[in-house]
Amino acid sequence: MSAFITGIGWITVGGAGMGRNADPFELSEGSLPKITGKKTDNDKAFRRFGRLDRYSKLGVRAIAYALRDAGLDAWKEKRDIGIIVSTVFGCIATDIDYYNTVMMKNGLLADPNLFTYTLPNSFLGHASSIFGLTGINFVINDKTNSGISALRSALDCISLVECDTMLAGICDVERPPDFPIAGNPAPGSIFVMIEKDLERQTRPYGRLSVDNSGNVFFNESEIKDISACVRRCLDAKT
Amino acid sequence: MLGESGIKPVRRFRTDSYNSSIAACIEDLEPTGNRSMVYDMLDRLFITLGPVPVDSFLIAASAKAGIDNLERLRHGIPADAHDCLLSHLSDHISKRFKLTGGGMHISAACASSTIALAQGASLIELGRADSILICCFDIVTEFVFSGFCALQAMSPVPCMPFDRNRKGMNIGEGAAALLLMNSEKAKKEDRAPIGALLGWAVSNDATHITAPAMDGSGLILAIRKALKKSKLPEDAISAICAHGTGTVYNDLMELVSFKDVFRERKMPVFSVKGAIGHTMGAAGGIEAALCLKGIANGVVPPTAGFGSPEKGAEGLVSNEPAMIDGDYMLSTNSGFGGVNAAVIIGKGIRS
Repeated sequence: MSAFITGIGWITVGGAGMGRNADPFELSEGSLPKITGKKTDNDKAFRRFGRLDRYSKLGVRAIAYALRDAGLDAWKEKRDIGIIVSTVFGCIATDIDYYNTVMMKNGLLADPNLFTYTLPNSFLGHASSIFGLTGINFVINDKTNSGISALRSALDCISLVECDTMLAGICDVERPPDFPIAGNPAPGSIFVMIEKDLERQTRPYGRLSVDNSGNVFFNESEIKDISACVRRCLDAKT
Repeated sequence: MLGESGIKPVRRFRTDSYNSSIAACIEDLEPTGNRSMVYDMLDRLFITLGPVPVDSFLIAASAKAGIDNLERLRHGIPADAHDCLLSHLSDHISKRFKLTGGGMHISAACASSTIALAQGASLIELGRADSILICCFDIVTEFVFSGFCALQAMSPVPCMPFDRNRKGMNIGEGAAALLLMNSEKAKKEDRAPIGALLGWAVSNDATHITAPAMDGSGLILAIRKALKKSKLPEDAISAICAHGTGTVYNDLMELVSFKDVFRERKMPVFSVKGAIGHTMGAAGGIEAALCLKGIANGVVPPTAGFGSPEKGAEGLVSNEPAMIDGDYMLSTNSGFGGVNAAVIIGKGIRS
Protein backbone atom coordinates (compact mmCIF):
# COMPACT_ATOMS: atom_id res chain seq x y z
CA MET A 1 0.00 0.00 0.00
CA SER A 2 1.34 3.44 -0.81
CA ALA A 3 0.25 7.08 -0.65
CA PHE A 4 1.77 10.51 -1.29
CA ILE A 5 3.33 12.94 1.16
CA THR A 6 1.98 16.35 0.23
CA GLY A 7 2.76 18.52 3.23
CA ILE A 8 5.28 18.78 6.06
CA GLY A 9 5.23 21.00 9.14
CA TRP A 10 7.34 21.10 12.25
CA ILE A 11 8.41 22.90 15.39
CA THR A 12 11.67 21.66 16.86
CA VAL A 13 14.59 23.07 18.83
CA GLY A 14 15.84 24.42 15.50
CA GLY A 15 12.66 26.42 14.93
CA ALA A 16 9.39 26.17 13.05
CA GLY A 17 9.11 25.31 9.42
CA MET A 18 7.31 23.98 6.39
CA GLY A 19 8.69 21.83 3.61
CA ARG A 20 7.97 24.16 0.71
CA ASN A 21 9.50 27.17 2.49
CA ALA A 22 12.92 25.52 2.40
CA ASP A 23 13.12 26.14 6.17
CA PRO A 24 16.09 24.43 7.85
CA PHE A 25 15.03 21.20 9.58
CA GLU A 26 16.61 19.42 12.50
CA LEU A 27 15.31 17.31 15.38
CA SER A 28 17.75 17.56 18.26
CA GLU A 29 17.96 17.94 22.03
CA GLY A 30 17.56 21.34 23.65
CA SER A 31 14.79 23.79 24.42
CA LEU A 32 11.88 24.50 22.13
CA PRO A 33 11.19 28.05 20.96
CA LYS A 34 8.24 29.95 22.39
CA ILE A 35 5.08 28.71 20.72
CA THR A 36 2.58 31.46 19.99
CA GLY A 37 -0.61 31.82 18.03
CA LYS A 38 0.57 34.86 16.09
CA LYS A 39 2.15 35.22 12.64
CA THR A 40 -0.33 32.94 10.99
CA ASP A 41 -2.38 33.38 7.83
CA ASN A 42 -5.50 32.31 9.64
CA ASP A 43 -5.64 34.19 12.93
CA LYS A 44 -9.24 33.14 13.57
CA ALA A 45 -8.08 29.56 13.96
CA PHE A 46 -5.79 30.56 16.80
CA ARG A 47 -7.94 33.01 18.71
CA ARG A 48 -8.15 30.75 21.80
CA PHE A 49 -4.61 29.51 21.49
CA GLY A 50 -3.60 31.00 24.83
CA ARG A 51 -5.86 28.54 26.66
CA LEU A 52 -3.91 25.55 25.45
CA ASP A 53 -1.16 23.84 27.40
CA ARG A 54 2.31 23.85 25.86
CA TYR A 55 2.10 20.27 24.54
CA SER A 56 -1.14 21.08 22.73
CA LYS A 57 0.19 24.36 21.34
CA LEU A 58 3.17 22.50 19.96
CA GLY A 59 1.10 19.82 18.27
CA VAL A 60 -1.58 22.16 16.91
CA ARG A 61 1.08 24.47 15.45
CA ALA A 62 2.89 21.62 13.69
CA ILE A 63 -0.43 20.33 12.30
CA ALA A 64 -1.26 23.85 11.09
CA TYR A 65 2.06 24.08 9.26
CA ALA A 66 1.61 20.66 7.63
CA LEU A 67 -1.90 21.58 6.47
CA ARG A 68 -0.70 24.90 5.08
CA ASP A 69 2.25 23.26 3.35
CA ALA A 70 -0.20 20.87 1.67
CA GLY A 71 -2.54 23.72 0.76
CA LEU A 72 -5.28 22.31 2.98
CA ASP A 73 -5.44 24.87 5.80
CA ALA A 74 -8.37 26.85 4.38
CA TRP A 75 -11.78 25.15 4.57
CA LYS A 76 -15.50 25.80 4.29
CA GLU A 77 -16.92 22.34 4.92
CA LYS A 78 -15.60 19.73 7.34
CA ARG A 79 -13.23 17.22 5.76
CA ASP A 80 -12.71 13.48 6.34
CA ILE A 81 -9.06 13.88 7.34
CA GLY A 82 -7.62 11.83 10.22
CA ILE A 83 -4.73 12.44 12.63
CA ILE A 84 -2.47 9.91 14.36
CA VAL A 85 0.31 11.07 16.65
CA SER A 86 3.03 9.21 18.49
CA THR A 87 4.31 10.55 21.80
CA VAL A 88 6.65 9.40 24.56
CA PHE A 89 5.77 11.71 27.45
CA GLY A 90 2.39 12.86 26.16
CA CYS A 91 0.92 15.54 28.42
CA ILE A 92 2.81 14.54 31.59
CA ALA A 93 4.03 18.14 32.10
CA THR A 94 0.41 19.33 31.99
CA ASP A 95 -0.57 16.51 34.38
CA ILE A 96 1.94 17.84 36.90
CA ASP A 97 0.72 21.43 36.47
CA TYR A 98 -2.89 20.33 36.91
CA TYR A 99 -2.23 18.19 39.97
CA ASN A 100 -0.41 21.11 41.59
CA THR A 101 -3.73 22.99 41.44
CA VAL A 102 -5.47 20.02 43.10
CA MET A 103 -2.94 19.93 45.93
CA MET A 104 -3.19 23.63 46.79
CA LYS A 105 -6.50 23.55 48.72
CA ASN A 106 -7.50 19.88 48.85
CA GLY A 107 -9.01 20.09 45.38
CA LEU A 108 -10.99 23.31 45.83
CA LEU A 109 -8.78 25.09 43.30
CA ALA A 110 -8.57 22.27 40.75
CA ASP A 111 -8.28 24.01 37.38
CA PRO A 112 -10.93 22.78 34.92
CA ASN A 113 -9.19 24.31 31.92
CA LEU A 114 -5.89 22.58 32.70
CA PHE A 115 -7.73 19.29 33.36
CA THR A 116 -9.12 19.48 29.83
CA TYR A 117 -5.57 19.17 28.51
CA THR A 118 -4.54 16.24 30.71
CA LEU A 119 -5.35 13.84 27.90
CA PRO A 120 -2.71 13.40 25.20
CA ASN A 121 -5.40 13.46 22.49
CA SER A 122 -7.00 16.77 23.52
CA PHE A 123 -4.94 18.73 21.01
CA LEU A 124 -6.10 16.45 18.21
CA GLY A 125 -9.64 17.55 19.04
CA HIS A 126 -8.58 21.19 19.09
CA ALA A 127 -6.85 20.88 15.72
CA SER A 128 -9.85 19.00 14.33
CA SER A 129 -12.24 21.73 15.42
CA ILE A 130 -10.24 24.67 14.05
CA PHE A 131 -9.47 22.95 10.75
CA GLY A 132 -12.71 20.95 10.33
CA LEU A 133 -11.17 17.47 10.39
CA THR A 134 -13.68 14.67 11.03
CA GLY A 135 -11.53 11.59 10.39
CA ILE A 136 -10.14 9.00 12.77
CA ASN A 137 -7.74 10.29 15.39
CA PHE A 138 -5.85 8.81 18.29
CA VAL A 139 -2.55 8.83 20.17
CA ILE A 140 0.04 6.06 20.20
CA ASN A 141 2.07 6.06 23.41
CA ASP A 142 5.53 4.97 22.33
CA LYS A 143 8.88 4.32 23.98
CA THR A 144 10.77 6.38 21.38
CA ASN A 145 9.85 9.35 19.22
CA SER A 146 10.63 7.59 15.92
CA GLY A 147 7.06 8.17 14.79
CA ILE A 148 7.11 5.06 12.61
CA SER A 149 4.06 3.64 14.40
CA ALA A 150 2.06 6.76 13.48
CA LEU A 151 3.17 6.65 9.84
CA ARG A 152 2.35 2.93 9.63
CA SER A 153 -1.06 3.32 11.25
CA ALA A 154 -1.93 6.25 8.99
CA LEU A 155 -1.08 4.19 5.92
CA ASP A 156 -3.17 1.32 7.31
CA CYS A 157 -6.15 3.66 7.72
CA ILE A 158 -5.79 4.76 4.09
CA SER A 159 -5.39 1.16 2.97
CA LEU A 160 -8.63 0.15 4.71
CA VAL A 161 -10.46 3.18 3.27
CA GLU A 162 -11.09 4.60 6.73
CA CYS A 163 -9.74 7.94 5.46
CA ASP A 164 -8.15 8.98 2.17
CA THR A 165 -6.14 11.73 3.78
CA MET A 166 -4.21 11.47 7.05
CA LEU A 167 -1.88 13.55 9.18
CA ALA A 168 0.76 11.50 10.99
CA GLY A 169 3.40 12.75 13.34
CA ILE A 170 5.14 13.04 16.67
CA CYS A 171 4.72 15.46 19.57
CA ASP A 172 6.75 15.82 22.75
CA VAL A 173 7.74 18.78 24.87
CA GLU A 174 10.88 18.65 27.01
CA ARG A 175 11.02 16.11 29.84
CA PRO A 176 9.71 17.70 33.06
CA PRO A 177 12.89 18.68 34.92
CA ASP A 178 11.76 17.57 38.35
CA PHE A 179 10.15 14.30 37.34
CA PRO A 180 12.20 11.11 37.74
CA ILE A 181 11.62 9.36 34.42
CA ALA A 182 14.30 7.96 32.18
CA GLY A 183 14.69 8.91 28.55
CA ASN A 184 14.89 12.28 26.88
CA PRO A 185 13.50 12.22 23.38
CA ALA A 186 14.38 15.25 21.29
CA PRO A 187 11.48 17.63 21.91
CA GLY A 188 9.39 18.84 19.02
CA SER A 189 6.47 18.07 16.82
CA ILE A 190 6.56 16.98 13.19
CA PHE A 191 3.54 16.19 11.04
CA VAL A 192 3.31 14.96 7.48
CA MET A 193 0.22 15.05 5.30
CA ILE A 194 -0.43 11.76 3.53
CA GLU A 195 -2.89 11.54 0.64
CA LYS A 196 -4.07 8.48 -1.23
CA ASP A 197 -4.79 10.23 -4.50
CA LEU A 198 -3.41 13.34 -6.13
CA GLU A 199 -6.60 14.96 -7.26
CA ARG A 200 -5.39 18.43 -6.35
CA GLN A 201 -2.73 20.51 -8.08
CA THR A 202 -0.20 19.70 -5.39
CA ARG A 203 3.23 18.40 -6.18
CA PRO A 204 4.02 15.57 -3.73
CA TYR A 205 7.32 15.13 -1.97
CA GLY A 206 7.28 11.44 -2.76
CA ARG A 207 5.59 8.16 -2.08
CA LEU A 208 5.21 6.61 1.37
CA SER A 209 4.48 2.89 1.59
CA VAL A 210 4.24 0.00 4.04
CA ASP A 211 4.97 -3.66 3.38
CA ASN A 212 3.22 -6.72 4.80
CA SER A 213 5.59 -6.82 7.76
CA GLY A 214 4.83 -3.24 8.71
CA ASN A 215 8.12 -1.74 7.46
CA VAL A 216 7.73 1.82 6.17
CA PHE A 217 9.38 3.15 2.99
CA PHE A 218 9.83 6.56 1.37
CA ASN A 219 10.29 6.31 -2.39
CA GLU A 220 10.98 2.57 -1.92
CA SER A 221 13.81 3.12 0.54
CA GLU A 222 13.14 1.99 4.12
CA ILE A 223 12.91 4.68 6.79
CA LYS A 224 13.32 4.12 10.52
CA ASP A 225 11.97 7.42 11.82
CA ILE A 226 9.90 10.39 10.80
CA SER A 227 12.81 12.84 10.86
CA ALA A 228 14.62 10.70 8.27
CA CYS A 229 11.42 10.74 6.26
CA VAL A 230 11.28 14.55 6.39
CA ARG A 231 14.94 14.87 5.43
CA ARG A 232 14.41 12.62 2.41
CA CYS A 233 11.32 14.60 1.42
CA LEU A 234 13.31 17.82 1.57
CA ASP A 235 16.19 16.26 -0.38
CA ALA A 236 13.76 14.93 -3.00
CA LYS A 237 12.30 18.44 -3.39
CA THR A 238 15.69 19.93 -4.16
CA MET B 1 -28.38 -7.96 35.37
CA LEU B 2 -30.16 -7.07 38.62
CA GLY B 3 -29.93 -3.36 37.89
CA GLU B 4 -27.90 -2.74 41.02
CA SER B 5 -25.24 -0.07 41.23
CA GLY B 6 -21.65 -0.41 42.40
CA ILE B 7 -21.35 3.36 42.77
CA LYS B 8 -20.61 4.04 46.43
CA PRO B 9 -18.88 6.57 48.69
CA VAL B 10 -15.19 6.92 47.85
CA ARG B 11 -12.79 5.84 50.59
CA ARG B 12 -9.57 6.10 48.61
CA PHE B 13 -9.16 9.86 49.01
CA ARG B 14 -10.95 12.75 50.70
CA THR B 15 -13.90 14.11 48.77
CA ASP B 16 -15.13 16.88 51.08
CA SER B 17 -13.93 19.60 48.67
CA TYR B 18 -15.87 18.21 45.74
CA ASN B 19 -19.47 18.34 44.57
CA SER B 20 -19.64 14.53 44.48
CA SER B 21 -18.34 11.89 46.86
CA ILE B 22 -19.16 8.69 44.99
CA ALA B 23 -17.52 6.45 42.39
CA ALA B 24 -17.45 2.78 41.38
CA CYS B 25 -14.25 1.58 43.03
CA ILE B 26 -12.94 -1.96 43.39
CA GLU B 27 -12.99 -2.16 47.17
CA ASP B 28 -9.57 -3.53 48.04
CA LEU B 29 -7.53 -2.38 45.06
CA GLU B 30 -4.10 -1.29 46.29
CA PRO B 31 -0.72 -0.26 45.00
CA THR B 32 1.94 -2.94 45.35
CA GLY B 33 5.21 -1.43 46.59
CA ASN B 34 6.05 1.53 44.36
CA ARG B 35 3.80 0.32 41.56
CA SER B 36 0.51 1.78 40.38
CA MET B 37 -2.77 0.22 41.49
CA VAL B 38 -3.24 -0.76 37.85
CA TYR B 39 -0.94 -3.76 38.37
CA ASP B 40 -3.17 -5.15 41.11
CA MET B 41 -6.19 -4.83 38.83
CA LEU B 42 -4.39 -6.43 35.87
CA ASP B 43 -3.15 -9.33 38.02
CA ARG B 44 -6.75 -10.09 39.00
CA LEU B 45 -7.92 -9.79 35.39
CA PHE B 46 -5.27 -12.12 34.03
CA ILE B 47 -6.13 -14.93 36.48
CA THR B 48 -9.32 -15.52 34.49
CA LEU B 49 -7.98 -14.85 31.01
CA GLY B 50 -6.51 -18.21 30.05
CA PRO B 51 -3.62 -18.78 27.64
CA VAL B 52 -2.66 -16.17 25.08
CA PRO B 53 -0.67 -17.21 21.97
CA VAL B 54 2.85 -15.80 22.35
CA ASP B 55 2.84 -14.48 18.79
CA SER B 56 -0.13 -12.22 19.59
CA PHE B 57 0.19 -8.49 18.93
CA LEU B 58 -0.75 -6.44 22.01
CA ILE B 59 -2.92 -3.35 21.85
CA ALA B 60 -3.30 -1.78 25.27
CA ALA B 61 -5.65 1.12 25.87
CA SER B 62 -6.30 3.56 28.68
CA ALA B 63 -6.84 7.24 29.32
CA LYS B 64 -5.05 7.99 32.60
CA ALA B 65 -3.92 4.64 34.00
CA GLY B 66 -0.88 4.93 36.24
CA ILE B 67 -1.63 8.53 37.18
CA ASP B 68 -1.99 7.42 40.83
CA ASN B 69 1.80 7.26 40.89
CA LEU B 70 2.02 10.91 39.90
CA GLU B 71 -0.20 11.69 42.89
CA ARG B 72 2.00 9.68 45.22
CA LEU B 73 5.18 11.31 43.95
CA ARG B 74 3.75 14.81 44.38
CA HIS B 75 2.87 13.89 47.96
CA GLY B 76 6.43 12.67 48.56
CA ILE B 77 5.49 8.99 48.61
CA PRO B 78 7.91 6.66 46.78
CA ALA B 79 6.45 5.49 43.46
CA ASP B 80 7.71 4.48 40.05
CA ALA B 81 7.30 7.52 37.81
CA HIS B 82 7.45 5.35 34.70
CA ASP B 83 3.98 4.00 35.48
CA CYS B 84 2.73 7.46 34.46
CA LEU B 85 3.91 6.66 30.92
CA LEU B 86 1.27 4.53 29.24
CA SER B 87 3.83 2.65 27.12
CA HIS B 88 5.40 1.35 30.34
CA LEU B 89 2.19 -0.41 31.36
CA SER B 90 1.97 -2.07 27.94
CA ASP B 91 5.49 -3.43 28.43
CA HIS B 92 4.37 -5.07 31.65
CA ILE B 93 1.53 -6.89 29.88
CA SER B 94 3.80 -8.03 27.04
CA LYS B 95 6.26 -9.46 29.55
CA ARG B 96 3.47 -11.08 31.56
CA PHE B 97 2.37 -13.13 28.55
CA LYS B 98 5.86 -13.40 26.99
CA LEU B 99 4.47 -11.88 23.81
CA THR B 100 6.77 -11.76 20.78
CA GLY B 101 4.40 -10.17 18.27
CA GLY B 102 5.01 -6.55 19.23
CA GLY B 103 2.43 -4.09 20.40
CA MET B 104 1.31 -0.56 21.04
CA HIS B 105 -0.68 1.56 23.48
CA ILE B 106 -3.58 3.67 22.26
CA SER B 107 -4.99 6.68 24.04
CA ALA B 108 -8.07 8.56 22.90
CA ALA B 109 -9.92 9.53 26.07
CA CYS B 110 -13.08 7.51 26.71
CA ALA B 111 -12.98 5.94 23.24
CA SER B 112 -9.48 4.48 23.78
CA SER B 113 -10.40 0.81 23.97
CA THR B 114 -13.07 0.98 21.26
CA ILE B 115 -10.36 2.36 18.98
CA ALA B 116 -8.02 -0.40 20.18
CA LEU B 117 -10.61 -2.96 19.07
CA ALA B 118 -10.95 -1.20 15.72
CA GLN B 119 -7.20 -1.12 15.22
CA GLY B 120 -6.89 -4.78 16.20
CA ALA B 121 -9.54 -5.78 13.69
CA SER B 122 -7.78 -3.65 11.06
CA LEU B 123 -4.44 -5.38 11.63
CA ILE B 124 -6.11 -8.77 11.22
CA GLU B 125 -7.90 -7.60 8.06
CA LEU B 126 -4.60 -6.34 6.64
CA GLY B 127 -3.00 -9.71 7.36
CA ARG B 128 -0.46 -8.05 9.64
CA ALA B 129 -1.42 -10.26 12.60
CA ASP B 130 -3.38 -13.46 13.24
CA SER B 131 -3.97 -12.89 16.93
CA ILE B 132 -4.38 -9.63 18.84
CA LEU B 133 -4.64 -9.20 22.60
CA ILE B 134 -6.67 -6.11 23.48
CA CYS B 135 -6.15 -5.05 27.06
CA CYS B 136 -7.83 -1.97 28.51
CA PHE B 137 -7.75 -0.49 32.00
CA ASP B 138 -8.33 2.66 34.02
CA ILE B 139 -8.60 3.43 37.72
CA VAL B 140 -10.34 5.90 39.99
CA THR B 141 -7.92 8.56 41.22
CA GLU B 142 -8.29 11.95 42.85
CA PHE B 143 -6.58 13.38 39.77
CA VAL B 144 -9.46 12.36 37.50
CA PHE B 145 -12.20 12.74 40.12
CA SER B 146 -11.23 16.34 40.92
CA GLY B 147 -11.06 17.22 37.23
CA PHE B 148 -14.54 16.04 36.38
CA CYS B 149 -15.84 17.76 39.53
CA ALA B 150 -14.11 21.00 38.46
CA LEU B 151 -15.86 20.69 35.10
CA GLN B 152 -19.19 20.29 36.95
CA ALA B 153 -19.69 16.95 35.16
CA MET B 154 -20.02 14.67 38.22
CA SER B 155 -23.29 13.54 39.72
CA PRO B 156 -23.70 13.70 43.51
CA VAL B 157 -26.02 10.67 43.30
CA PRO B 158 -25.51 7.42 41.35
CA CYS B 159 -25.80 8.41 37.72
CA MET B 160 -29.03 8.02 35.75
CA PRO B 161 -28.23 7.55 32.05
CA PHE B 162 -30.99 8.70 29.69
CA ASP B 163 -33.17 9.77 32.63
CA ARG B 164 -34.71 13.24 32.36
CA ASN B 165 -33.55 14.01 35.92
CA ARG B 166 -29.94 12.95 35.38
CA LYS B 167 -27.31 15.03 37.13
CA GLY B 168 -24.06 13.94 35.54
CA MET B 169 -21.63 11.06 35.51
CA ASN B 170 -19.72 8.99 38.05
CA ILE B 171 -16.32 7.56 37.33
CA GLY B 172 -15.52 3.90 37.82
CA GLU B 173 -12.57 1.60 37.43
CA GLY B 174 -12.17 -1.61 35.53
CA ALA B 175 -10.24 -3.63 33.02
CA ALA B 176 -10.98 -6.05 30.21
CA ALA B 177 -8.98 -8.31 27.94
CA LEU B 178 -10.27 -9.55 24.59
CA LEU B 179 -8.43 -11.91 22.29
CA LEU B 180 -9.08 -11.31 18.59
CA MET B 181 -8.13 -13.96 16.02
CA ASN B 182 -8.79 -14.63 12.38
CA SER B 183 -10.74 -17.82 11.75
CA GLU B 184 -7.67 -19.84 10.69
CA LYS B 185 -5.79 -18.96 13.85
CA ALA B 186 -8.84 -19.72 16.00
CA LYS B 187 -9.12 -23.15 14.40
CA LYS B 188 -5.41 -23.80 14.79
CA GLU B 189 -5.57 -22.81 18.45
CA ASP B 190 -8.76 -24.83 18.89
CA ARG B 191 -10.62 -21.80 20.26
CA ALA B 192 -14.37 -21.58 19.91
CA PRO B 193 -15.28 -18.00 18.88
CA ILE B 194 -17.47 -16.11 21.34
CA GLY B 195 -18.47 -13.64 18.66
CA ALA B 196 -17.17 -11.55 15.81
CA LEU B 197 -16.15 -7.92 15.29
CA LEU B 198 -17.83 -7.09 11.99
CA GLY B 199 -17.67 -3.34 11.62
CA TRP B 200 -15.77 -0.46 13.17
CA ALA B 201 -15.14 3.23 12.64
CA VAL B 202 -13.78 6.30 14.37
CA SER B 203 -14.65 9.95 13.75
CA ASN B 204 -14.20 13.39 15.20
CA ASP B 205 -16.90 15.98 15.85
CA ALA B 206 -14.57 18.81 14.81
CA THR B 207 -16.61 21.02 17.13
CA HIS B 208 -15.21 21.29 20.67
CA ILE B 209 -12.72 19.42 22.83
CA THR B 210 -15.03 18.73 25.79
CA ALA B 211 -18.61 19.23 24.60
CA PRO B 212 -20.17 16.86 22.07
CA ALA B 213 -21.57 18.08 18.74
CA MET B 214 -25.23 18.39 19.68
CA ASP B 215 -26.40 17.51 16.15
CA GLY B 216 -24.68 14.15 16.66
CA SER B 217 -22.79 14.59 13.40
CA GLY B 218 -19.59 12.94 14.63
CA LEU B 219 -21.26 9.90 16.18
CA ILE B 220 -23.61 9.52 13.21
CA LEU B 221 -20.58 9.48 10.91
CA ALA B 222 -18.88 6.78 13.01
CA ILE B 223 -22.03 4.60 13.15
CA ARG B 224 -22.68 4.90 9.41
CA LYS B 225 -19.07 4.06 8.58
CA ALA B 226 -19.15 1.05 10.94
CA LEU B 227 -22.37 -0.20 9.32
CA LYS B 228 -20.82 0.23 5.87
CA LYS B 229 -17.76 -1.72 6.97
CA SER B 230 -19.94 -4.54 8.32
CA LYS B 231 -22.02 -4.60 5.11
CA LEU B 232 -25.09 -4.81 7.36
CA PRO B 233 -28.26 -2.75 6.92
CA GLU B 234 -29.41 -0.55 9.82
CA ASP B 235 -32.29 -2.91 10.63
CA ALA B 236 -29.89 -5.81 11.29
CA ILE B 237 -28.85 -4.15 14.56
CA SER B 238 -30.89 -5.58 17.42
CA ALA B 239 -29.58 -3.53 20.38
CA ILE B 240 -27.28 -0.63 21.18
CA CYS B 241 -24.79 -0.47 24.01
CA ALA B 242 -24.65 3.31 24.34
CA HIS B 243 -21.92 5.41 25.92
CA GLY B 244 -24.67 6.74 28.22
CA THR B 245 -22.57 8.68 30.71
CA GLY B 246 -25.53 10.34 32.39
CA THR B 247 -24.42 13.88 31.52
CA VAL B 248 -27.09 16.10 30.02
CA TYR B 249 -25.28 16.75 26.77
CA ASN B 250 -23.82 13.31 26.05
CA ASP B 251 -27.09 11.44 26.44
CA LEU B 252 -29.03 13.98 24.36
CA MET B 253 -26.43 13.83 21.61
CA GLU B 254 -26.62 10.03 21.53
CA LEU B 255 -30.41 9.97 21.31
CA VAL B 256 -30.26 12.44 18.41
CA SER B 257 -27.66 10.25 16.67
CA PHE B 258 -29.53 6.97 17.14
CA LYS B 259 -32.73 8.54 15.84
CA ASP B 260 -30.92 9.87 12.79
CA VAL B 261 -29.52 6.45 11.88
CA PHE B 262 -32.27 4.11 13.06
CA ARG B 263 -35.27 6.45 12.68
CA GLU B 264 -38.31 5.38 14.72
CA ARG B 265 -37.18 1.79 15.30
CA LYS B 266 -37.68 0.60 18.87
CA MET B 267 -34.82 -1.61 20.05
CA PRO B 268 -33.07 -1.95 23.40
CA VAL B 269 -30.59 0.85 24.12
CA PHE B 270 -28.69 0.46 27.37
CA SER B 271 -25.85 1.97 29.38
CA VAL B 272 -23.88 0.09 32.04
CA LYS B 273 -22.50 3.28 33.60
CA GLY B 274 -25.24 3.44 36.23
CA ALA B 275 -23.97 0.08 37.46
CA ILE B 276 -20.17 0.18 37.09
CA GLY B 277 -19.53 3.89 36.59
CA HIS B 278 -17.71 5.43 33.66
CA THR B 279 -14.54 3.37 33.36
CA MET B 280 -13.04 5.93 30.97
CA GLY B 281 -10.48 4.41 28.60
CA ALA B 282 -11.56 0.89 29.57
CA ALA B 283 -15.26 1.53 28.90
CA GLY B 284 -15.36 0.41 25.26
CA GLY B 285 -13.54 -2.86 25.93
CA ILE B 286 -15.69 -3.74 28.93
CA GLU B 287 -18.85 -2.87 27.00
CA ALA B 288 -17.77 -4.93 23.97
CA ALA B 289 -17.30 -7.92 26.28
CA LEU B 290 -20.80 -7.36 27.68
CA CYS B 291 -22.19 -7.16 24.13
CA LEU B 292 -20.63 -10.54 23.32
CA LYS B 293 -22.33 -12.00 26.36
CA GLY B 294 -25.59 -10.26 25.50
CA ILE B 295 -25.70 -11.62 21.97
CA ALA B 296 -24.81 -15.12 23.13
CA ASN B 297 -27.59 -15.13 25.75
CA GLY B 298 -30.14 -13.09 23.82
CA VAL B 299 -30.53 -10.58 26.63
CA VAL B 300 -29.00 -7.18 27.43
CA PRO B 301 -28.51 -5.64 30.86
CA PRO B 302 -30.77 -3.00 32.41
CA THR B 303 -29.76 0.63 32.64
CA ALA B 304 -29.27 1.03 36.39
CA GLY B 305 -30.44 4.41 37.65
CA PHE B 306 -32.85 4.96 34.78
CA GLY B 307 -36.44 5.81 35.73
CA SER B 308 -38.08 8.67 33.84
CA PRO B 309 -37.10 8.68 30.19
CA GLU B 310 -35.49 11.68 28.56
CA LYS B 311 -37.40 12.78 25.48
CA GLY B 312 -36.48 10.32 22.76
CA ALA B 313 -35.56 7.51 25.16
CA GLU B 314 -39.12 6.27 25.54
CA GLY B 315 -39.46 2.65 24.49
CA LEU B 316 -35.70 2.29 24.04
CA VAL B 317 -34.10 2.44 27.50
CA SER B 318 -35.27 0.32 30.45
CA ASN B 319 -34.25 -0.44 34.01
CA GLU B 320 -35.06 -4.11 33.35
CA PRO B 321 -33.05 -6.62 31.30
CA ALA B 322 -34.33 -6.80 27.72
CA MET B 323 -34.58 -9.76 25.40
CA ILE B 324 -33.07 -9.27 21.96
CA ASP B 325 -33.98 -11.04 18.78
CA GLY B 326 -31.04 -10.84 16.40
CA ASP B 327 -27.38 -11.47 15.89
CA TYR B 328 -25.82 -8.00 15.82
CA MET B 329 -25.26 -5.22 18.34
CA LEU B 330 -23.80 -1.74 18.05
CA SER B 331 -21.56 -0.36 20.78
CA THR B 332 -20.47 3.30 20.80
CA ASN B 333 -18.22 5.56 22.84
CA SER B 334 -17.39 9.24 22.67
CA GLY B 335 -14.85 11.30 24.55
CA PHE B 336 -12.81 14.44 25.13
CA GLY B 337 -11.19 15.69 22.00
CA GLY B 338 -14.47 15.21 20.12
CA VAL B 339 -13.68 11.59 19.37
CA ASN B 340 -16.38 9.00 18.57
CA ALA B 341 -15.98 5.27 17.96
CA ALA B 342 -18.45 2.58 16.96
CA VAL B 343 -18.12 -1.18 16.70
CA ILE B 344 -20.58 -3.78 15.45
CA ILE B 345 -20.42 -7.10 17.19
CA GLY B 346 -22.00 -10.27 15.84
CA LYS B 347 -22.77 -13.74 17.03
CA GLY B 348 -20.40 -15.70 14.84
CA ILE B 349 -17.86 -15.57 12.10
CA ARG B 350 -19.13 -14.76 8.62
CA SER B 351 -17.34 -15.96 5.51
